[in-house]
Amino acid sequence: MEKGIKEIRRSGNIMFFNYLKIVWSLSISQFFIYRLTSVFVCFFGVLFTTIEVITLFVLYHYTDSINGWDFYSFLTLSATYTLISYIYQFFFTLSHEKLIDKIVEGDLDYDLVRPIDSQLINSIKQLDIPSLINIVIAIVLLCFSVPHVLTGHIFGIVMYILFVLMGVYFYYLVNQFFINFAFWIERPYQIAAIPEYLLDIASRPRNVYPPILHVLFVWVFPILLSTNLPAEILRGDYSVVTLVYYLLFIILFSFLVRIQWKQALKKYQSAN
Amino acid sequence: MITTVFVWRALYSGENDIGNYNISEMTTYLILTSLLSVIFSPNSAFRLSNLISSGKLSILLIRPYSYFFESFSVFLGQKVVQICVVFIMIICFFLLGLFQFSFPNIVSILLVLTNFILLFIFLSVMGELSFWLIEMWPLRPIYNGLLSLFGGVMFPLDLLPESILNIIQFTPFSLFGYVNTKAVMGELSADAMFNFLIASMLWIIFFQIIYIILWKKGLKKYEGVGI
Amino acid sequence: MISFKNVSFSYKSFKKQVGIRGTLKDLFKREHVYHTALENITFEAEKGEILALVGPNGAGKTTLIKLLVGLIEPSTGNIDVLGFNPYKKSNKYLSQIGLVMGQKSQLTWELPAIDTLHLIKAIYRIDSKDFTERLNYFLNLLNLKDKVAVPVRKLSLGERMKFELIASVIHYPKLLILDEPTIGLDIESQRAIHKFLLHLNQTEKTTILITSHYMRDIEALAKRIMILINGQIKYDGDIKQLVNTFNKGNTIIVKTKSELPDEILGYKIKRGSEENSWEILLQAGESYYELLSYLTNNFQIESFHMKETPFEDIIFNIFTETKESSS
Repeated sequence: MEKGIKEIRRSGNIMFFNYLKIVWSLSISQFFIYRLTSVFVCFFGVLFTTIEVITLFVLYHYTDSINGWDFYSFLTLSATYTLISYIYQFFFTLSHEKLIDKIVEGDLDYDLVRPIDSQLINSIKQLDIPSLINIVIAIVLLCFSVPHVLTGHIFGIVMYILFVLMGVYFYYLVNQFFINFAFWIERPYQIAAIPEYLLDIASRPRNVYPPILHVLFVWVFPILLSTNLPAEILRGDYSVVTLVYYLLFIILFSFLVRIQWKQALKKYQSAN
Repeated sequence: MITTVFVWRALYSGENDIGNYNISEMTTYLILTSLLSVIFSPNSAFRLSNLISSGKLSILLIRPYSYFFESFSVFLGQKVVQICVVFIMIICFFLLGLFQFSFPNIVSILLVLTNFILLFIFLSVMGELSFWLIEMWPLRPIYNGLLSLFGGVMFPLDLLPESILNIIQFTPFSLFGYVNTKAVMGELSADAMFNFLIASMLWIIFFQIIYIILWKKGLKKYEGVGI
Repeated sequence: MISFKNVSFSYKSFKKQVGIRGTLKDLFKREHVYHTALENITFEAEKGEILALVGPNGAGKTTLIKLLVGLIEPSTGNIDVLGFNPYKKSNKYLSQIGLVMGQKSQLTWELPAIDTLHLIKAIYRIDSKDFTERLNYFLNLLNLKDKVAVPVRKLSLGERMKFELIASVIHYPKLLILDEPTIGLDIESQRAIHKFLLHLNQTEKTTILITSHYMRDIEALAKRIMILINGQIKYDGDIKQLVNTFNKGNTIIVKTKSELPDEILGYKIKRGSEENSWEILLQAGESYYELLSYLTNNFQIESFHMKETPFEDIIFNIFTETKESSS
């Protein structure tokens, strides 16, 4: 049995890909173990989407357009919101929830001695399989609404997908940002619920909000852009300035969250 | 709440009256419903699952008082704070001049109180599901979702066609949200209030019975297996 | 392989004042208290050594371990392990150490242990063939072949600990650190783990550092022991020497129907706990030939035997002695 110690053979990227593969198969196992819970998760995903759609029907029963958004545009926006929310949920939500618990209980030691970035490993530990169903529902809604909305061509769709993924990444950063406060605050669960409220605000057209809120959530903290921008792109109705600003903001925010994480670890490790 | 209110107000830029609500009535309704949904939130349903998973339930069961009444006191304690906060917020909004409603009378207050008791019993039954469910957390968004829809948080229920309204308005969720708001706004007729009062009390009896049945079964499972 | 030079670690904590008034006062001004968890720690360990770290609760053992794995940074001094500064947490360093914390688990609770092991395989980039061979080898050694597909929550504590062990060595670490690995385990599991660790040490020259409150672990595994008390090294060396140095003495138990006097040849004699038994305290290493001859010549001796002071008692004496001398 005696073998020499093997050297690291593969590059970091492939390692992470392998890690992801295994996380995927473990997530499937866990999905079947917690069958009932998974059913519930599917159920409320469907429930929320239904509520959104019913609300839309009620709203548009009384008018044809809300601030320039017709029924199909609004539906597109709603579906985009659902899509971003559930893609985030699929990849990150279970791990993020576990992370808060681990921070509160001081249970991060094993994660910190692994030869893999601690933020990364705590962001993806288990995939939420039931969310896939809700992602499918969102895509179905989009198939229904987008043809009525799309001005432009295939390029618009590609941009749309890119910006949806950007939205997911941004939402991930927002969550990570608030979760990191758990290192400093004794009861972090309330704070950790904030991202959800923020994204909820973004589920509506941004011009519905009064100027103060508009400035706050588009320029100060562009959560509104994460959902609105992709939808606007599809309509061919976006401003390049907003787009560039959004991307720049995300880059800066990434650095901020990263620094925050490093600081948080320092604090975690210095306490006993 | 913010999203709902603003979207509806944007809608009003085109119209004058929607259903039988003008813009300030609609705003009042939406804000009130959201505020009340804070009081009618499902938090207390999750206490039991924590006690079960930590094993602390065993300690409480040995105590010389009923768990039901103990949980009611805990429930009241938590709600008092929420009620105070909501009350203050209502006063703030009122002073801001956003509200337009006539004051509630004794019967409507009685109705709200009855619904409040119903909330406790309903959540107690919901909490009992933790004897069987490994993970309780999905119930929170489900409850909130059902409250949004059937409780009229997204839009006043009486905007829906009458056939649907007649069925929905007597569900517990409607009582928690829509009915409470209308009662507080003083917009319910005496007949309607009477009907809702009866409905609420019937639900209380119904869920109380279920509570007792599930409690016996749940304890057997808890003590037998030591979850 | 391991080198600590003048390492100290202190941390600041806040004294919480009593009552509501105190809480309010705390909002404005907090009283700092400095704790020194480790003071002037200097030692070295070679590759392939098994080192036992012993000390009362709060002595600084866990702090030392955290310094070793890079979780905390020393306030003063230098640490070098395998040529690395642990606190830098370079991936290359982390790939070469293994950690078992007896009171915390690294296995996913609801899934079989094999799944966590696959995760570890991916994280440490272990070659598939190596992994399978090594895993089977360990499973056989620890008798876990048919437990590998059982969800962790259904395993007994002993089985779980064995899997934790496998998870910490599956990637060929050069240094293995165990923090109270046998807590709560039955004797069979304890011994299986001892056997496994010794085997690993012999075949792969894995350096092992173990802390434990069970002296059984220490006696079974380590030749070298380091005693930490109040953050300082009170003893660092061979276990046998420790026993000889600190052994207060051994006891001879004599069984006889005769009445023995209070004192013989300068030795104090006590009544023993059993009927017709007597206890005589000897200095460590002292020859008792004269005493025995005297006893056998003057009394009807039925039997006698030497009762050695248990290792545990020796350690206990060291702990309490130091506490007395420092208070």
